[in-house]
Amino acid sequence: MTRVLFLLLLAVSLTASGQSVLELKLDGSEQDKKLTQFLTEFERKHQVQFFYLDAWLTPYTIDGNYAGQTLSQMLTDILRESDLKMVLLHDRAMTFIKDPTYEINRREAIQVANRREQSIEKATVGNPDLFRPGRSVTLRGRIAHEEDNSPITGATVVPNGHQGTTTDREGRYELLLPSGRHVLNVSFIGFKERVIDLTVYDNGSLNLELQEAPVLLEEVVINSQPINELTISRPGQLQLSVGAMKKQPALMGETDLVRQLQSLPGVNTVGEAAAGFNVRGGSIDQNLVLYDGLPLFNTSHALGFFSAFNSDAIREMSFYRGGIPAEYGGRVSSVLDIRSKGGDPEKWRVNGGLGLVSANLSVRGPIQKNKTTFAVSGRGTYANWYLDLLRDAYKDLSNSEIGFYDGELRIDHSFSAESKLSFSYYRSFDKLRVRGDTTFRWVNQLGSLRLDQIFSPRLNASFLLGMGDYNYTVSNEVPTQAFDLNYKVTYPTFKADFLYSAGKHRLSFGLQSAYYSFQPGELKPTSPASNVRSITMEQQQALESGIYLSDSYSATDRIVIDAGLRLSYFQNMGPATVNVYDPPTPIDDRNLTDSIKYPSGEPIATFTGLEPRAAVRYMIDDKSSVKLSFHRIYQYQHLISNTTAVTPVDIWQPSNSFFKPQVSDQISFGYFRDFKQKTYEAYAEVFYKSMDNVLDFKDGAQLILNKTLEADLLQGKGEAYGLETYFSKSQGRLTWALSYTYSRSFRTIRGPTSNESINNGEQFPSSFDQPHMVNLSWNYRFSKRWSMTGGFAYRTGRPVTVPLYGFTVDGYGVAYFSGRNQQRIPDYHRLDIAFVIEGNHKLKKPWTGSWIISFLNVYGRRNAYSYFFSSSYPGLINTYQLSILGTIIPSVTYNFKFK
Amino acid sequence: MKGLLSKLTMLFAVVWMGCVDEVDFGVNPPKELPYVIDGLLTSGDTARVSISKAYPVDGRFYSAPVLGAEVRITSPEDSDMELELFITKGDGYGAIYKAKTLFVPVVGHSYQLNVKTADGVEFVSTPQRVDEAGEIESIYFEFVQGFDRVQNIEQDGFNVYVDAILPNSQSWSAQWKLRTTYMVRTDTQDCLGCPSVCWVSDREDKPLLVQSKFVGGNRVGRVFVKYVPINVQTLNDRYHIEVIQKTISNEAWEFYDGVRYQLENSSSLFQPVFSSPKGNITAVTAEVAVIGIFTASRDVRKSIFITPEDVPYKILGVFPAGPCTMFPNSTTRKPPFWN
Repeated sequence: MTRVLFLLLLAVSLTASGQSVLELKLDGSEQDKKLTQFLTEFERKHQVQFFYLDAWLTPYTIDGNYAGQTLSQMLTDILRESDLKMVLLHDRAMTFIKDPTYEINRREAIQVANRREQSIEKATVGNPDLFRPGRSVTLRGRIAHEEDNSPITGATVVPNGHQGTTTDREGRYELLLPSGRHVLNVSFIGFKERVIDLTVYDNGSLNLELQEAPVLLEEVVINSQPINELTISRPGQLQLSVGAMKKQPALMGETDLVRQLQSLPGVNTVGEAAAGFNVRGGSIDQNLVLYDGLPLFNTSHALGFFSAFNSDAIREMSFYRGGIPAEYGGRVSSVLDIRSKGGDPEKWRVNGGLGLVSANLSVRGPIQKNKTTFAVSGRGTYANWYLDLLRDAYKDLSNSEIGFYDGELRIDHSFSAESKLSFSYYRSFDKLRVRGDTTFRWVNQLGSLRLDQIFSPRLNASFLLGMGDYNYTVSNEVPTQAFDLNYKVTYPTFKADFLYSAGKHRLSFGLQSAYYSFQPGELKPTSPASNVRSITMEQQQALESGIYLSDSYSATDRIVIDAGLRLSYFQNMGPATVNVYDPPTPIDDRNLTDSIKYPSGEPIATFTGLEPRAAVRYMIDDKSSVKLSFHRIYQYQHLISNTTAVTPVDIWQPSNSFFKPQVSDQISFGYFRDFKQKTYEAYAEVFYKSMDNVLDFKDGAQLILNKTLEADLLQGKGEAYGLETYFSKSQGRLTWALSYTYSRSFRTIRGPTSNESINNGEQFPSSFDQPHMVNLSWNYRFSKRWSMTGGFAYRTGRPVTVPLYGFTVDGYGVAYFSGRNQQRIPDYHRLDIAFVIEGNHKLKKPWTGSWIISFLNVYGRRNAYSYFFSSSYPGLINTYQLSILGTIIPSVTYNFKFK
Repeated sequence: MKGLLSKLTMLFAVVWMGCVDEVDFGVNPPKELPYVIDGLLTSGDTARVSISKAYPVDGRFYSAPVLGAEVRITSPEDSDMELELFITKGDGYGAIYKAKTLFVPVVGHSYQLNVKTADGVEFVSTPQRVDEAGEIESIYFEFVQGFDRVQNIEQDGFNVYVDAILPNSQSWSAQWKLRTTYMVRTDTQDCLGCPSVCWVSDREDKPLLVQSKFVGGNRVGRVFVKYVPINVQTLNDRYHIEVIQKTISNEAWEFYDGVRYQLENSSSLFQPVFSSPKGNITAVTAEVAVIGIFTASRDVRKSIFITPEDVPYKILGVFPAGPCTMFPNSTTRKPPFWN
């Protein structure tokens, strides 16, 4: 109604304008007077009338000299940035009216907060003396974690319930608002929302801290729920909450961040306990997993049964599967950016958890109050205890061993409010031994030093110097076969990232460089009686660099454009020996004629890639938006595996004169909508992705210690497309999220000869092509302390290559296989539930705790992890499937936190 | 390597209540199954070639024999050798063609297999050059305490090893084959007229292979070739092991290595994508699918007995009831080396 009245008055003003009070000339005596005082005097002097509310005009003073100008010119100038309008009632009378939209929205936001029984805090920004009602002012600030003051990336800041923004990687936000009163909602998944009754007088800043949500929030957040899809400008970008994940059912009670990721639309896996994840038809090596800015090569413990991340050590995870920003490069399918938790600047905090197979403990606190903090955490397994229990029943397990641990250390030192230095170290270790013969060990460690520097309110930067190392060792202890097989990759890395905010522009730019050194394999006999011949694969070196520039431009209230460009550079360099084949194709051992030696530092192969990135968000209205994105990415390093599920002993191969970099283009388009004041959210997204130079292996390829690896690998094309839909309810006693994905993923490896083709050069589905995927998760709160969470997943069975017929040679029954991935294993579906029991929150109790009782695979579905066959002598071929979770798996975990 | 990791995964599965089920993909075999040709020319046996068709994966095992073929082994250095149909096994192993006399291939000479089927399809192998076989230094065995995972019982046995010397050349590809024999006795009280003593033969479980590129020098020590379980059948009398050593061409070695890889990894839970081993025989007259391998080699042999006295305790057990011919690959004919 108010809006209608406003429009009517505006219409009257347009039609009534003519020779009027507004055209009266001023004489200069008005200078330095309060506007209200001037208008009163003007009324008396010229027998005219003005209608207004004192409060609207009191803050205004006539600063300039307007002698000779009309009243209209003066008022227009003074009220230029305000939300006040002049409406001429007739020649001798006029009124001031105010656009009521902000006020209406503000009141609605307050009503919503009241309905949710949220407390509303008051805050003011700016100097009241500079207050000009309705004038556009810039509100800046930083949203941080209440515990350790670490920045929260992706938190949403929404004024008056409409058209907000999200924080950047430093937790910073910027809003353009009319000065005056607003209601600010600040939220992030897994954190308690803050509602601020804000009065903004002038440009200024408002820093806020969010408190991690106690389990019993009024609104319990759904696992992995993408937050505020409406306001994030990129389709395919998700911000994930560790806190919410911890309440979900988990294998043996182990919160598995990677496993939770697999419940998102467009993300899948080849098996129930397989390592890694596949995103939008991409292979596992196409995911860039960063831990505090450094790439991680192995994300799993125990061959893929558990993720290599201790959830208590992680502050946040950002996940991009489309519209990947220009600051990220090197992997063509997705980015998972993990940031560790820092220490608490004021007091010590201890938390941990006890599960059936592992325990973890984290300690965080100040070294020097409000200046230097530390956070240390560790997790280890006692799975060997299980083996001990089983040894009586399964004597074959004697001398078998399962062990893993991971540890994280972080030290932060604030030189000032503008300058902070952080040291981060991560190490994960696995050791597995089968029946006393062979031991597998693999280690991933990362260390980095990072300086965050705020140069000005508009410019900040971060500089990172780090070192990564991934290595594995396979040891055999049988004297005649005793050996150590070692593999290692190290990568010292430097990064410099800048962020510059200027009005409607937010510019990101920087450079990154890493020097990779690969030891692709070294086989050494370890006993005098060993038959094993010493083999050392030649070391490989490569430099990977990138510079980028990106702008997030708020073109209007409704349109945000993110556009960027990345220039990547990769050079494989000596010392190295490169095989020469004659004729050059087919590349085959039999055609190997010569080799060329490259001295140290000499370039062997150099590649550059220009990678445009773009994303546009258009807010159709306050409840819905559409988004469009495009990205091109080059990938210069490839995981070489000849198995469907990757293993820790697979090898990474840099691009060289035989292996071109992978190049992927992806376009995606999405529609997002909120319903019932964000109680419900829905989105649908379509994507198309093409991939060039994807690596595949010839059938039967042997990859380890292969000095002519290029003769066993092939490159071809990949293609993926799909539709992802998502619905969720995020408020109330019952919250849920439902997603359905239809997607396809194909490969085509077509060479000049049949030996250089797979499947005769015809397109075949990739091993992770699962057309239909459904995920449902929910959380139902019985009471303040009891809740039940759960999840159901359905996926089409993935493709496999199966025996087509058999034959017998020399008495051995041998299988002949179908074309690559021409059959499918049975469909996958599983139901998991968990009961979460919170301890009481008595103030005097020194700690709080929660029990999570999980039941995985509730109805005992035997989903295939893999299939295999036995070729029984002399000829019958039987095919079998292995189900990792063959029955319902109960587990219990206790998490605690000292206050 | 991945096979071992695969066992670990299985171990996890056992620990966490995994299970294995047979699955049927309902694959339709091709209408025309390929020819399968398996030819062997060696110094220790008469030349032999088996010709059949591949068999479908439908729960039946039947390799249709290919009869009426003309089979020849040719050499630029030696005269051609004709092979004649020797036997068509009734259980679907295909047709076996044999040479009339033993021919010892000559080191340094090349031999080629030529096959022409009754309907005119011709196949030819690549020439196979014969190299020295080297020498078997010794065969020996060690007692090991073990465990039968299938039956979940203690099962002791002997690990049998070979020390070998291979040709003193820069590159060689070696293969070992085994022929094992043991005498079984059965209780025939309820089976009058049944034979109670038979000799059961067995062989290696998978191709035993080594190549010069994986070994330092030409001496290979302690190559594990067989596990012999200790029970009342295997060591009722003695256990005979004959080891045959030969060197074969690189392409034949790769074929058998592909077979070995498939046999070793078919149960791998990481699901390697297998090749179908590529042989050295091709069709020359028509577009006909063929899987074929032909090897020509000299061989050296050595054998030993394992006796009950080698077992550190007295073997106890009950002879099974029934005819001894119930054991697969058994015969009532005493082998000549048994005395």
